Amino acid sequence: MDHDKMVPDFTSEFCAEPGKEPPGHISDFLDVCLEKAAIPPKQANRLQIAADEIFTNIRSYSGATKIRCVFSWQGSVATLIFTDDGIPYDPLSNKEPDTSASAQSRAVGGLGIFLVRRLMDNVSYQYQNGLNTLTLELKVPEA
Amino acid sequence: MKIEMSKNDSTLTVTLEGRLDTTTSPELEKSLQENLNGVQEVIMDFAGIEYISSAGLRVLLSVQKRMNAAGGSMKLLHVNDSVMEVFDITGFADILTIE
Repeated sequence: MDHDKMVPDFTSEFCAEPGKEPPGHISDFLDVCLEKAAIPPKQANRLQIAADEIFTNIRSYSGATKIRCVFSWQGSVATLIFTDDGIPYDPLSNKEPDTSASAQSRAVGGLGIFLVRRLMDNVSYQYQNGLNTLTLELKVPEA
Repeated sequence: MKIEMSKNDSTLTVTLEGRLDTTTSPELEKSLQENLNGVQEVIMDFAGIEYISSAGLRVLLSVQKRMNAAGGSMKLLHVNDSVMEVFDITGFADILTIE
């Protein structure tokens, strides 16, 4: 199916306030977006994994009071933009984890952002006006 | 996520359905902790797993370490392409037994 020509461009937004439960699940929000954009399972799963990693990191470590996630679908590219008011933190400055260590000496810390970088086509970070902004892009090939 | 566990002697078979992410991994970890005593072999059936994030990797790693320490084993069955992609990227493909 030549879905990128059939699905019109659109933008959708999800907001969460850590500490004020329930935050809602970003995966439920994304499910709706991914279905609307008719994104195939392989790319849909990559986007869900990336969103889980980024959203969890922000909620757990940034001290943010507001997290905003904007999904946009434009000409066969899916973009996720995360904005938060937590402490300035560039996840792309992380050292890459050792992915060849044995099970016994293996740690999982740092694997999340590493996965995001490998699963997405482009990841960029910006700190502006007191907000962290992380942009993830994934091209969706024509089916 | 749906988690089914069945224990036969020292073998624990875990059948999973859904997504192994930040939301669901704590459930799996808890169920495993309650059932791992005396277990020498863990069989995880991933047929119903859509994808796994690092939260799920953490749980698998802890079970693998526990089995290694106890002289036991763990194997994963029916892993889909999305899960395998994550195992390949993170090097987990080398430390897990995937059939």
